[in-house]
Amino acid sequence: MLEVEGLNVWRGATHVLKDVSFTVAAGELAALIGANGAGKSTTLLTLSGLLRARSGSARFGTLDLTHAKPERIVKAGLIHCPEGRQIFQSLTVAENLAMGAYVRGGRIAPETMAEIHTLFPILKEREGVAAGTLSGGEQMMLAMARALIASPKLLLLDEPSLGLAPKAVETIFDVIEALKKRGIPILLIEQNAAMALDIADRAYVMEQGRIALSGTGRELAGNDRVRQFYLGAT
Amino acid sequence: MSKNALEALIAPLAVVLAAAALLWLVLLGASDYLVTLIAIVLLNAALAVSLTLTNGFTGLFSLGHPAFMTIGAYVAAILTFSARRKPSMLPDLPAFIAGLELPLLPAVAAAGIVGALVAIVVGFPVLRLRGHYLAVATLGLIVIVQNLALNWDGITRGGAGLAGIPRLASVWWAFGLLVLVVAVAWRIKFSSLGRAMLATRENELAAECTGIDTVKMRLTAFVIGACFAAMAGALFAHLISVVTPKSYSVLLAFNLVVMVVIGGAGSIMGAVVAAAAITGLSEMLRPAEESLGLYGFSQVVVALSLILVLFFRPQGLFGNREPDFVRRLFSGRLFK
Repeated sequence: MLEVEGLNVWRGATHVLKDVSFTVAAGELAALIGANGAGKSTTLLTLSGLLRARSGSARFGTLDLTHAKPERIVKAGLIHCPEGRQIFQSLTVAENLAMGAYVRGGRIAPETMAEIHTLFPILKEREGVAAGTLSGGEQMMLAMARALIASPKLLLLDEPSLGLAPKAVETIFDVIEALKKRGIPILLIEQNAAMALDIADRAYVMEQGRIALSGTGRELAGNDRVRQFYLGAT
Repeated sequence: MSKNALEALIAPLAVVLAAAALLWLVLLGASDYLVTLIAIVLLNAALAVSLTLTNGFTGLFSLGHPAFMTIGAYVAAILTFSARRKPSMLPDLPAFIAGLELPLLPAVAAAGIVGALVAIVVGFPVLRLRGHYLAVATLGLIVIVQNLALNWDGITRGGAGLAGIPRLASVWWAFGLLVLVVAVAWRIKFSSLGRAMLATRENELAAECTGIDTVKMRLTAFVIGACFAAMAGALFAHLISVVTPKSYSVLLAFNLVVMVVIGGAGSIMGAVVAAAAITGLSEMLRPAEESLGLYGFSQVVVALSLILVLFFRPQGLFGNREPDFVRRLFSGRLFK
C-alpha cells in the first residue's frame, strides 16, 4: 500500500532522511518510533507532499508521492494529521470538521458525521464553539476527527498523544485501536513507544535519519536495544 | 436546487432594494457636498471590504490598494476621455485606444481586469514566500505605479495628471460597486472557498494537510481585492473628474488597513461600518482643522482610534465574524 524506497530528504543544509525505506501494508498499523530529531515528522511531511525528496521514491498505490501535489495526495486518501494539535483556532468545531471534507467540496455525509460523533462524543457537544477554546485533548480529537472525515485510505498520525493528560492519551489510543479494528491502515509516530509498540503490527525505529531496526511490534518491544533506549528498561 | 438558489436570492435582494430606497430618500434633500461625501463613503466602504477580502480572509498584509486604484483610475479615464481631445493631450496612446470613447461600465470593467493582471504578476512570485514580503512588495508597487504615472507623460500627462475626466460616475455607481463587492465577499466567505481562505490564515500546515493549495488561496484573495480596488479607483476618477500620480498614496493604504483592523479583520460588515465611521469622522473634523489651523488632526484621531481598538478590543468590532442580525437579514430568517 505504501512503499518507501531509499528516500533522501534535506531541510536547508541538513541531510535529514538518509536512504529511508519501509512499507505499510493494507490494514496494518505501523509505528515509527525514535528520538527527537530522528526524522520522523520529516518522513510524514515528505509523504504528504509538503517537503520534497532529493532522491528515492515513495509510492502510495500507484501514486508517486515524491512528485504529486499535496491536494492530489489528500484526494488519493493519504491523510496526514500533523504534530501539535493543528486546528483552526477561531473557526468553530463544525467548521473545522467541514475542512476535512474540503477536497470533496466541504460536504460531509450524515453517516460519516454519525461515525465521528460515536468516536468522539465530545465534538458533538462542542459543535458550535470556537476550536481554540477546547482543551488540549479535545483539540487533538478534533484534529483526528478532521483527518478521518477526509476518509483516509492511509492515516499518518504524528505524535497524537504529545503533551496530553493521561486520560486524554487513553482516549486517543482507544480511538486508534478502534480505527485499526475497522481496517484503516495507520502510520503512527509516537514518543510513547511502549503504547505504540503494544498496538503496532509492524514497527520501525528511526535513528539519525535512518531506519535502524524493524520488526513486528512484539519483536521490537522485546529487543534489548529498544528496551534500553526507548522503553526505559534498566 | 435552482429554485432554492432563487429563494436564497430574495432576502439579499430585498435588503439591497431597502438600502437603495433609503439612499434615495437621503439624497432627496441632500446638498451637492453631502451627495459627494456619501459617494466617497460608499467607495471607501467598497475598498475596505475588498481589502478585508485580501488581508482579512487569508491573513495577507497587502498595502497595494492605492497602486491598484491609480492603475484603475488611469486605465478607465484614458478609455472614457473624449476621443477628440485625446490625440493632442495624450500623444503616445496607440491609435486604437486614442480613437475610443467608451461608456463608464466597460471602462470600469477594463480597469478591474488590468488591476487583476498586475496583481497576478506581483502576487505570483511574492505569495510563494511566507512572511510579510507582500507588504514590502506592495509598498514598492505604490512607488513604481506613481513614478510610472509621473514619467510616462505621453499617456498620463505626468505630474499634472488627467483633469477634465467626464463625470460619468455618481453616488449610484458607488452604491452599485459596494453592493457588488459585499455580495462577492459574502458569497466567498460562506462557501468552501472562504473557509479554505480562513483556514489558510489560521493554520497553514493544517490547511495544507486538508488539501488546500494555500498559495492559490492567497493569490485568489489578492487578485480579487486588487480587481475591486482598481474598479473603485476608476469610479473615484469619474466622480471627482481628476486623477494625478499622487491621488492615492501610502496614507490611503494606511487608512484602509485601519478600517479593516477596526472593523475586525475578515468581517465584511465590520469593514463597512469602520469605513463609514472613519470617512465620516475625518470629514466632520475638517472644519475644526481649518478653523483651528490644526491640519492633519483627523489623521491623529484615526491613528489614536487604531491604538485604542488594538488595546481594548484587538479583534476589532466583530472579530472575523458577521453580526448575527445581518446574517439573519441576508438569509431571510430575521424573525425565526
